[in-house]
Amino acid sequence: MSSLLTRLTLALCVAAGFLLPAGGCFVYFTAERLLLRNFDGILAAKADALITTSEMDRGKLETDLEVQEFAGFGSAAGGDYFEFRTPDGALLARSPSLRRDRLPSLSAPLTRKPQSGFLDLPDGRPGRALWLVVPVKSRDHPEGATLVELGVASDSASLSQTLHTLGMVVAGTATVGLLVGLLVLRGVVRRSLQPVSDLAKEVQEIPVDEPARAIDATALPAELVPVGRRVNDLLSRAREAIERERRFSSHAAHELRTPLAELRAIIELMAEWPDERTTEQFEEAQKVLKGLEQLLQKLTLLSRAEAGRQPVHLESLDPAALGEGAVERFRAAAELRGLSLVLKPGSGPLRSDPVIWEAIANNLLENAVSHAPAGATITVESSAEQLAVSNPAPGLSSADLPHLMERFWKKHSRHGEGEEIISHSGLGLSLVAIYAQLLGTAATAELQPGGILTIRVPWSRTEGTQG
Amino acid sequence: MRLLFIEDATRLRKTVARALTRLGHAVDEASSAEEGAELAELAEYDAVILDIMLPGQSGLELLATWRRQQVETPVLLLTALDSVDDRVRGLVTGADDYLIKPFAIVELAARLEALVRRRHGKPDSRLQIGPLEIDFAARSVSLLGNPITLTAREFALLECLARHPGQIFSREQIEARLYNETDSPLSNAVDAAVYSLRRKLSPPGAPQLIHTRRGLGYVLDPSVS
Repeated sequence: MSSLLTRLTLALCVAAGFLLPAGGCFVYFTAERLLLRNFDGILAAKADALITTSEMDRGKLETDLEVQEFAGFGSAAGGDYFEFRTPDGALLARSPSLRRDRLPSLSAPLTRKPQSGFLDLPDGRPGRALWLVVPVKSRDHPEGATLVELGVASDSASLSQTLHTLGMVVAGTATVGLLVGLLVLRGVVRRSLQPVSDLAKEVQEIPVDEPARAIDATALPAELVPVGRRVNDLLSRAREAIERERRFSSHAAHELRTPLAELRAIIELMAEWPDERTTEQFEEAQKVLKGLEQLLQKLTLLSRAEAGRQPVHLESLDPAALGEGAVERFRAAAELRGLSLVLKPGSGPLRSDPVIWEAIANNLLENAVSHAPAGATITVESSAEQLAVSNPAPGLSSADLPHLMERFWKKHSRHGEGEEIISHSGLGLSLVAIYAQLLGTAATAELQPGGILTIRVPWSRTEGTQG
Repeated sequence: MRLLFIEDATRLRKTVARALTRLGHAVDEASSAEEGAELAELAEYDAVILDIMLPGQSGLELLATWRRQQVETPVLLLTALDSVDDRVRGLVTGADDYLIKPFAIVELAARLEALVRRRHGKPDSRLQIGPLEIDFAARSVSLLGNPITLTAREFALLECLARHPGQIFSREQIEARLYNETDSPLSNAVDAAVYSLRRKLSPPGAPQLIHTRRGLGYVLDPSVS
């Protein structure tokens, strides 16, 4: 695709190539019309003078000789010409300059309205004539006037020369204007497009994997300000996405490589020192494998849900019974950490997918039981309106909330004692988020005063979207 | 060697520490940068194994603090972050080596040994002291060309004395090199280890390599008979 500069230059050249000749033609033909009108006006004035001073008497036309001389129809060669004739072409009178010649007629039939045109004069010079039918005073006619044809002609060489010179000047001006325009236009267009070029260069210089820079939109021309602002918005989003990707990569590497390192260390320890092949070491290895298996299972679930391969079957459910079942599943794990589980059941039926509902509840409870401080109370509200799990989260700040549902995100990456009680891979809340989306709703997290974290999945929109 | 292992993954930390202990090193463990910093102030370590992703202060932050404080203890970064940027960041911050999880324990031990060797300006892992030849990388000892089998504790004691031949080590100094913070050795444990090592290194009739300086401690010096 050609550049904007080339396209604009070409368009302007085409426009100039059309407008300059058209303008030249307009000037030329306007000037020609004015000059001819002026020339014809002089001929008409001479014709008027002849008509006023001519009179028919006994079949002859008499014309004042002084007027003839004054109007330039003298006998000298190179003067103007006139000829009176009857409508049937018989000669009535002619200027001395015609001598024995006749003034050539125009091709169109004559009327009272004067007609003019170019012709060759009897002496061979180019000329212009004005012919018309006019009444002249007559002593022969009872009405006092007789209709005759009058032709007046004059040398048009100077007029043609003027028109030729005008044509040359206009054509030359248009050609020179076009050539200069071609040279100047590109520079003018380039200068006008400089802000666009600068913006393109600035955008091009932004590293794709490190879009830390932003464009100064205030320095842009008004037309480009929206572009600059939108580019800055996109850069900001790209920065967030890259940062999120980096966090994901580093956390994923940590979560996947650490158990592998544990397993390898256990195996090497047992291989190098046979007395280390104890039941405890084998159990440790099994726990690592179980953790990896759970991690893999969650990644598979996430992938399946994201690919839209998780089926959704809506049916009428009892949220109170579902909540009770979920709480009972986690009661033993909670007691091991000294946690209390409190269920607040709601009444009324809920239309949802039981498998996905349980997956959401399990991951919410797993997260709460893993992270709530020992001795804390976890509250589960299961109703037709929402599923909400609340627990104290003293280490969490409001700045952490946007990251809660990122994959592998953890406030602390501690793999502490007791992690085998319940797994916390950092994928549970990601699963909650995507499962909520499958049910047409969105999981939200809020931190209440006192450091109580509530993760809520509202159901009100579920029926509307899933029907 | 006396090592400090700072790693928040408990199972990994305990297993690797156990393996290193069985290789004859004294290993102190910390599960956070803050805990590691406290231990480093209490004891002198030959090397530190430091995880980067730690709860609270990160391993890199701790390393940067140490380097600002002119702490020159060799630090081997142990991490799951394997990109070039991550490795460069670690080395630029002041790490002496970088090992990515998962890793082989023998490789970790060999790298630690190399770090300590470089710190003492000895590029070769083998050391000849009189009739004694020690290979720290292979963890083998021979006397006049005859291999000698040592326990991990005996090798650690020999390593401590042999890296600084002619230097007197007090019982407390040797104890600090051989036992970690949680070990509770008997009061005569060092004397017993020295006695056992002497027997293996100097058969009846041969000149002694390890000498007792009364009231001061022990020294390995083949030139003194």
